Amino acid sequence: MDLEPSQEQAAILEALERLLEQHAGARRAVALGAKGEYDHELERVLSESGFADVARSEEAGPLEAALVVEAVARHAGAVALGARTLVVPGVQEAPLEGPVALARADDAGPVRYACHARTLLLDEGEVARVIELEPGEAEPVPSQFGYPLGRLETARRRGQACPTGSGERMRCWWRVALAAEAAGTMRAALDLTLEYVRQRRQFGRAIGSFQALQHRLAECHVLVEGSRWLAREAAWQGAPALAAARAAAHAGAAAARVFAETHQLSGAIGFTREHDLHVFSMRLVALGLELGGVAGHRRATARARWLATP
Amino acid sequence: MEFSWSDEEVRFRRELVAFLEQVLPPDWEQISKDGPGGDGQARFSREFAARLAERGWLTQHWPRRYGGSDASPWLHAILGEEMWARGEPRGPQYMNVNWIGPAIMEYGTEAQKQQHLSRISRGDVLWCQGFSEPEAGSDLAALRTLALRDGDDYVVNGSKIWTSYANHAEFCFLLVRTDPASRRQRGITVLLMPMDLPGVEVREIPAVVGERYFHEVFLDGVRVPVACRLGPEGEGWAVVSYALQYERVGAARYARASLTLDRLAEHASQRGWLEDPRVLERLGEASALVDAARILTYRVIDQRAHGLPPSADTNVARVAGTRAEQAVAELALELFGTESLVHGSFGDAQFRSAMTAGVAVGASEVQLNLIASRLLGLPRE
Amino acid sequence: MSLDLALDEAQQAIASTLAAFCREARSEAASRRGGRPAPELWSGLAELGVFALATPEGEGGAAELVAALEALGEASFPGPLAASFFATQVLDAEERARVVGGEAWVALGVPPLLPWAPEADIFLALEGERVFRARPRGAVERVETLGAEPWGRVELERERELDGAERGRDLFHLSLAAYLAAAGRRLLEDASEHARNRRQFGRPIGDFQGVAHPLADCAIRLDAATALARRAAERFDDAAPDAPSAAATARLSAGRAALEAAYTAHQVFGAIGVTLEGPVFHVSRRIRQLVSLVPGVDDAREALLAELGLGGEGRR
Repeated sequence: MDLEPSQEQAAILEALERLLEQHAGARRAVALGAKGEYDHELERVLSESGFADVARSEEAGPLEAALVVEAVARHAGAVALGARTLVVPGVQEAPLEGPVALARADDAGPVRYACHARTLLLDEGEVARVIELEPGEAEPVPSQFGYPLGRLETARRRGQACPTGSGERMRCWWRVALAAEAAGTMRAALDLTLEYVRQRRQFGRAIGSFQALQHRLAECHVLVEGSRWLAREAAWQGAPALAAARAAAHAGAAAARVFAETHQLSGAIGFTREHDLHVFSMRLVALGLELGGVAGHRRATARARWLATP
Repeated sequence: MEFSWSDEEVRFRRELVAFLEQVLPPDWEQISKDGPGGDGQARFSREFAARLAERGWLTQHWPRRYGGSDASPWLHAILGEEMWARGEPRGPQYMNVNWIGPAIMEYGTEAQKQQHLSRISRGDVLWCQGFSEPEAGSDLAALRTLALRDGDDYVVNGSKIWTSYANHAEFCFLLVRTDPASRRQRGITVLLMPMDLPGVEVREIPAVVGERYFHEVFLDGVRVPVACRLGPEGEGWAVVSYALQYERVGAARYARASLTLDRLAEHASQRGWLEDPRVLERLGEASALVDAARILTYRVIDQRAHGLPPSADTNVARVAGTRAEQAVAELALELFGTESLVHGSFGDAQFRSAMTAGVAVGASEVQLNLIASRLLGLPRE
Repeated sequence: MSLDLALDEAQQAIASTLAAFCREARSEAASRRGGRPAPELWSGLAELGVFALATPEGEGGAAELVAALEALGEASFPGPLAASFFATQVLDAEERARVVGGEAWVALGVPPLLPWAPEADIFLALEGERVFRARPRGAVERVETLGAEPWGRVELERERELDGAERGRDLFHLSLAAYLAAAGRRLLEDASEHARNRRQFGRPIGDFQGVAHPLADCAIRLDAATALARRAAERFDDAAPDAPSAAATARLSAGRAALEAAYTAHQVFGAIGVTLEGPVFHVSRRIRQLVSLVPGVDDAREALLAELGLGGEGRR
């Protein structure tokens, strides 16, 4: 057990930070989001620099991939990175043509990135199914939740099933991806709020000096840190069912709390478009609903821990 | 960054668990029901800690010259987990090995190290912690117990309260004020006081969590030799701060919470409740919180293993641990229903300890303050 | 439907009479000691007509009963109060008279673990929505409990099914709700008093938002719980169709609010709250005990869901 980043990991993360500062960020996310666009440019940059496929490299693996997903989320990058770098490699050897959207067969709701995805990976329970998507096949769904959404009906019946057991693998890696993405998103939301309360003055002092606020933010920090480290542990361990489920359960519950607190403490300005908080906070809502939501992750945690079959 | 256990660590845990299964008596639950300070447990702990010491396991993380084997803090953390999960058979001695010994190593004179460290590492001595006073709880710096210099002694007058293990202890890690004109952190001194000195009186305060949990210690003209002073006079606050960092995560309370959860799940399973998705959700929720406390504690151990100075991550781990304990206690209430009210039952014990989780070893509010100021950069009032 | 939930004059009179009674009879000391309280305490309540409330023989309805229970909750009055009120709704006139007269103690629950079984004269066994008059088969094995009430494990033999279980349950829930909300409020006030007086870091600890805000949050929830209990009482007295869900809501709300007050009080009082002789534990243990009484929160929740036309899956 060694929880400090190695030199190699530190170097990767440092290089990634620089890249994300240039190619991602909340402003960019808002601009693309207003047009319902996918950040192909960011995905290309991540791909060319090797960050997008770090899990498949010799020297790195799913932990590094989770660290990358977390960092990209923290910089408001809305690309299907979790799918590409954690879920697909967890299900099969060969990469899929991206962007890759993830959906569940028993959930007819809108799917993240469906309108821009080239491939759909569908959780059918026992197996995962790989489905090639036609351009324009998905029906865009207007969304305020910080990600482009679309509905896919007919596509779900096509494609190729992966071997037995691939469904479970897909769900586990999807949980790890969600946890990592939520952790990065929460971190950004919290950091924005901290910055705000440090400088916002009321009653003759910075509102961040009020103990009630301090305690609430400190509780959020504890939740975010726990989420981030459980996600990393699960990724490193190869997304076994229990570790993956508890990471997602913790991150999902934390996300709901962080959403509420960051908005409460940022007051009216937190809801405006000029302030960046909504970029992150609304995504927390969307992430919290994916793959059966917190309740689903919690049940999966209990089953994995105490019941023989998941 | 990696999350594996080494072969050595896996082997150690396996050996340790086998040892515990062999050594703990069949009525251990009964013996340990009052916690580490209870009579039965304190008595058992002397023998038990000595046996651990014989195997080199009591203070393995200490430097060799003080009775350790320079082992990685991870081995000690593994030991702590297995101990706390089982209600702490080391009794009050877990305190000695976690922070009293380290404080003496850091600040002690050679004579003090000789006198105390070998006994601690042999598992041969019980200590108590003389910190809180009636007017100085969370605000420890408000302490008033006076120790005035008279020749080669300090004459100590005052009282301590909420002192765990005072009735059995041979020594007290005692915080006093040596400069009567001083206020707050300045002028505080640490004394390693023998408890059998004339003028020391211990009185139990009946507590809800079991026997011998809380005591008042009255100090009436106690003459404590100057040689018992730990660190420089008037600079005890630095010593205390150092010690507290170790104290905060010394007890692997999440390990106990985890075992409790396993029992709750077993109870639920026997009644067919694991078919109920709501029960699964509540169990999963608590499980995630317990593991968050675990991993955040590992962060702190890791920092120690890297030789990094203690950070406010200890406070983060502490808060996570409290939240996990409280969640498990609430779940016991929900799942066990009326059975949890039976005196001496599992749920009963959980409720009692949940009442203390947020106030023991540093109140949650203080932990949150430290997180806010040291990690979040939030300004003091 | 009235939205004015303040106690009227008659209800206030009941509340203050009972508060005075509790003080004089030292009910709180009895609660601290635990076990069965002295007979004068129970007969005193009976003489004041408390057990007759909401019965044909009594002078008031559930609204008066709630006022009484607020006073009793504030004083942590010991004994099977809610069970007695359940019993007065289902027993025949003769047995009801014994309960109303304070001569018969009621053990109500799902066997084998029953509250007050070692002391009970009348046993009522619950099964789902039904209640049965029952009698012990064999000895009662006495069990001590967290809340210092003597409970017992006993096999029960059913004698006959009783009518009125729904009314019994509603009254049970709303009486517990009123009691718990008041007990929680009592802890809140004690904790607030402590926060005003206890000085650390050079000022009253209540000056710290980390202490004050949780107390304020509790006050809000307890106020709501009290209001819900009073409203549920009104609905009961009006025989309104939503009386069951109102009672269930009140029970759920008060249970949560009281437990939260207990945790917050422990947090504010620190180590003092962990002592046996301190101001907190004898109340918080009682709250903890009563929150778990059967018919329970789950039953309350089911009633509420049924009213809303929801639920039905995953029943235990």
